Amino acid sequence: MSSGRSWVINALYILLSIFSFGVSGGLVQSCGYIIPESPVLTRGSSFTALCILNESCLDLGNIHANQIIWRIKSSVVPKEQYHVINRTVSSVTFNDTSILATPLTCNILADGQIEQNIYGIAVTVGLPPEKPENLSCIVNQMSKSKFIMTCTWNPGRDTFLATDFRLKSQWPQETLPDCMPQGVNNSCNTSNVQFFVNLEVWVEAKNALGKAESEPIDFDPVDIVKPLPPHNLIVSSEDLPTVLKLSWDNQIETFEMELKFNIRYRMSDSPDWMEVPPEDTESHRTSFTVQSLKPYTKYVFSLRCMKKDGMGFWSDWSKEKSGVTSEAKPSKGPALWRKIDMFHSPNFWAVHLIWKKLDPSEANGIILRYEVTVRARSRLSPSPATYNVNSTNLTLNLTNGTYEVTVTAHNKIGGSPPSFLLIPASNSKAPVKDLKAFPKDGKLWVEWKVPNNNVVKYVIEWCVVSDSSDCTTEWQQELGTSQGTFLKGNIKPFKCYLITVHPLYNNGQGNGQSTKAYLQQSMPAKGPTVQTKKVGKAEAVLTWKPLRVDEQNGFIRYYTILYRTIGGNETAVNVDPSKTDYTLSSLSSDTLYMVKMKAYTDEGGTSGPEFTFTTQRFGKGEIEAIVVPVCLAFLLTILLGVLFCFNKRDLIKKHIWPNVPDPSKSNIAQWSPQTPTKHNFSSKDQIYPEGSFTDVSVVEIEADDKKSFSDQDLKHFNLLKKEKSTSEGHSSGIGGSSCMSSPRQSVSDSDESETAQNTSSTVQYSTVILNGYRDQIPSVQVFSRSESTQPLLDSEEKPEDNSGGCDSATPRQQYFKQNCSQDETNTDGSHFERAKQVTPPINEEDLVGLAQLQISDHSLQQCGSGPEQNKHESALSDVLSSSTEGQILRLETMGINTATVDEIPKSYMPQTVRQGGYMPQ
Amino acid sequence: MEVLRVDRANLRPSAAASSSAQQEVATKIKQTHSLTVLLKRCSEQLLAEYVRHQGEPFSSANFQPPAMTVPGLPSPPVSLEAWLALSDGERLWHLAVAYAALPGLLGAVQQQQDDLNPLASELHRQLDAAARQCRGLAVNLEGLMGALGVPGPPSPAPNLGSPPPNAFLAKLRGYHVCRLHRDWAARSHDALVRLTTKYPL
Repeated sequence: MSSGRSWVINALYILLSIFSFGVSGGLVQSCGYIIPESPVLTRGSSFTALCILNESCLDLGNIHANQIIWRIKSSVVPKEQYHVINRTVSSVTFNDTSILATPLTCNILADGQIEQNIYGIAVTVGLPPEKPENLSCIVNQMSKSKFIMTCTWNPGRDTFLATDFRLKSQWPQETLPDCMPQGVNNSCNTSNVQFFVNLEVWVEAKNALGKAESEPIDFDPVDIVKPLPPHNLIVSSEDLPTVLKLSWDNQIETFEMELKFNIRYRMSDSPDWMEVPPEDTESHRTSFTVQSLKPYTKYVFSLRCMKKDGMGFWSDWSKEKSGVTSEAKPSKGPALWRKIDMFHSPNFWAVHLIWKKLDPSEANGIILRYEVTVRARSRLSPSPATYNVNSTNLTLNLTNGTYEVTVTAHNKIGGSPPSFLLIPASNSKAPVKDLKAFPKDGKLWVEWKVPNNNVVKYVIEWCVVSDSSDCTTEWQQELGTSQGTFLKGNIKPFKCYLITVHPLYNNGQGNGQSTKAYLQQSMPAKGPTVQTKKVGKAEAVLTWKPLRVDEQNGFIRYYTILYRTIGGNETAVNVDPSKTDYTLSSLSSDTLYMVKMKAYTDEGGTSGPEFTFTTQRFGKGEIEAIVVPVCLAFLLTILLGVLFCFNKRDLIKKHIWPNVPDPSKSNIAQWSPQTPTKHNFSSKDQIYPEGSFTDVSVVEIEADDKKSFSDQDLKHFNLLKKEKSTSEGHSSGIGGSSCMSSPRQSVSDSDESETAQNTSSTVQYSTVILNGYRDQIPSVQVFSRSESTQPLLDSEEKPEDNSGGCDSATPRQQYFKQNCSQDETNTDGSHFERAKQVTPPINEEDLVGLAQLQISDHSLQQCGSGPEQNKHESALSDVLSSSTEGQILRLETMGINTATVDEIPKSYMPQTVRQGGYMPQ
Repeated sequence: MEVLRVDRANLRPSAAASSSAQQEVATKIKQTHSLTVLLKRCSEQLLAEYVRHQGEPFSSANFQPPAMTVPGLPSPPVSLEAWLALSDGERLWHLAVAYAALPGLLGAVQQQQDDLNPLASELHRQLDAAARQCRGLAVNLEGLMGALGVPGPPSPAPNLGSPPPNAFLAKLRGYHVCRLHRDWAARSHDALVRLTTKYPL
């Protein structure tokens, strides 16, 4: 292809030459040329080029070599590097060829400063080849009869030029064909390999600037062979359970070379290779028996080879092949243990014999059955019972005693040595000491100290302690010489393991010692829920439930109680994990506290929920200290009061339960004339001397009233009744209505009084009171008391002036302490002044008030006893003046006044009316 | 080359030589012996392969053509006793003569077979290998003779005789070349066995 193209170019060039030659002196004529033409230069060397002008061109104009300008590509070469040799020759010199580039042109500056190109050359700059180094060769076996020799070398620096590398070789008297690298410059492959003839090879590197040869190496190609690995490997088991025979085919003929081998093997479940001792496989062979293998174990083999004398290279490893050794008797009895249930009676046991499957390395084959023998240790014991079992447990019901149990595992070759276990009822021998369990290397390590030297083996039992499930025991057996072991099993983190170690002796077993351990601890899953058991003023008793084992995730090392008030700093208290309550002291009283608990393992703590409580305002006993004395004082006061009353009972009775005169025995006629006299009293001084009036005049009043008032009052009462029906309200003033509504009622009311009262007199009283009450209606001015006594007339005017409510502070108003909050001291003085003059209105109002207060019996009685004598009234006044809570006394007064009113009805009633607004209170 | 010259100067059969030089010779002999083992085996394979590709009558089991001289190639002594009766030098000399001619003859056979059995690549490979092996043995023999002081044979005249007039004769010529090659390989092996016993490593 390329040759064809170059042919075309050559042809064109020739044609052009002919053409230019034909028209020389014509249009296309070169005016000069450069020598050397297309130089190849060593980088860094100096170089001189000449531009020679044709004579013919000189004639065309004033052209001189000093007009020549040299250019590299488009840049002008400095004039200093020019040298004009003569009129037609200019040279240019470069001290360092590395600045050169293609093209280097010769130009001339013709007339008119027009630069014309004369000629150009291509410049190639590069380096000569370096001596190839590190030549080495290897003969690779490609197939049984095909070998390829590959030689590699270091070609050295880049030359920037096309450089030809050749691997040359020769025999001592004969030169062999060269090997030409294909696409690379640092290696070459040749298939002309002749063993057993020394070969000398070297590398020749050649380019336009030079040639270099490597140091030759001399070898017999058979000594640098990397053979193909053996193939068709077969692994076969022999009768012996510890050997496997390998056989294979070699891929190189023995007349070419003899081989030695490496054989490696591993158990199929292990990544670690073992190697047959190389000295055992130094001779040429096609089979080998590997010994010292484990019975019934799968092994994987592969091998490689090289020339027997060690010359050359190891082959690759052959393909792996596996084989299984023959079975052998189990090498060991199974690990044996038991669980004894004594549930029915102490004399009968359910003995669960359990044993472990043998490890494949101990089973040496497929275990077909287990043979269990049980022999009782007693004189009368029969021959041992034998059981053939396929599983790994056997439950026996035995009577109390000592038994020897053996278990042997059988495969098709034979039985294992027996495992022996003594089943005693009690564990009387020495236990292990200093049992510890802790995580180590990511597993749970148990260690102990031997109790004595007679321990045959140890059984380690363990189980997960959990609230939700039973402790499912796992176990393992260790040699009597061991003092520690890793628990073999799926030990999970964050679970509490209860580990028990039993030492087994020839003639019994020791007590199991237990410990607890975690493979890995973590923070508790939750914190304890704290609450108060009791809250006092300055202390609170906190209580909590211990965390469940499943929540602990580790050993609880301590609790921290954190409590604080709102906005207060948190206080922390550490508590021993064995406690379930704690008393917080020095708390502030009546304060809200927030408390929570953290449970800590070695890995950290977890908070429980927050609980709030409020301390009490008073401490324990404080209330009692206050209440009890107060109660005692109160009781004492009551007692004193009672005593006082008891002592003064006569006096009290006299004032509170006075002997009410029997109206039926009264003589109003006798009493009537005395009334004015009585009303003439103007001061207390006049009253007091008559303190004994009560006894004297009662009967007369009653009698008098009865006669003098009966008719008129009844009439009057009828009138009032009519008014009442039109009045606004207060129709049911209790005291009033009861007094006035019917004589019979009054009689019945007054039954409690000592005497049976005259009906008519009772009516009279009632009438008076009712008038007073009904006086709230201003229009009712019809009252007339025909028999009113004159002494009150004077005062009748005055009450009319005193209209209105409490503010006017009339003596009557002041008198009603409960209605008007005015000083009673005033009342005292003015009352008795009034008592003479305006007594009736007072009594009327009083009655109403009493009615409102629902003081029934006595007031009624007083109503009934109203028409008392003046003497009596003055005596009452005395009592009033000395008592502030004189309801009852006032009633008496009222009664007296009422009696008085009987004689002065008209002048007295309007006042009452005006004061009616006051009454509803 | 330099080494070989030294060997030639020092290692005559009768001459006492330094142990290292003797070692050199012994190594050389062993190497050449290995080559003769290889050659013996390969020449047998080659003859079988050659016969297999030539068709009748060559491929018949009882094909035993009469011995025929091949121009430029001496025939080995018929009897082993006669061969072993020669001196080491004589045997080497004979071998050198034979193996100077064999590569060219085998090359000619390969050229013929290129035409006659162009698809018999294994035969071509074996012929190629046989020629190379013979050249290699010739090289080794020359070196050995130099080391042992045995004068080398004159350069063989490149006279391979006229090309066979027809294919059968070409095949027959080839057959004889291969057979002679086998015979010479056996003789060379015998000779080198002798030498290895004389020059143990």
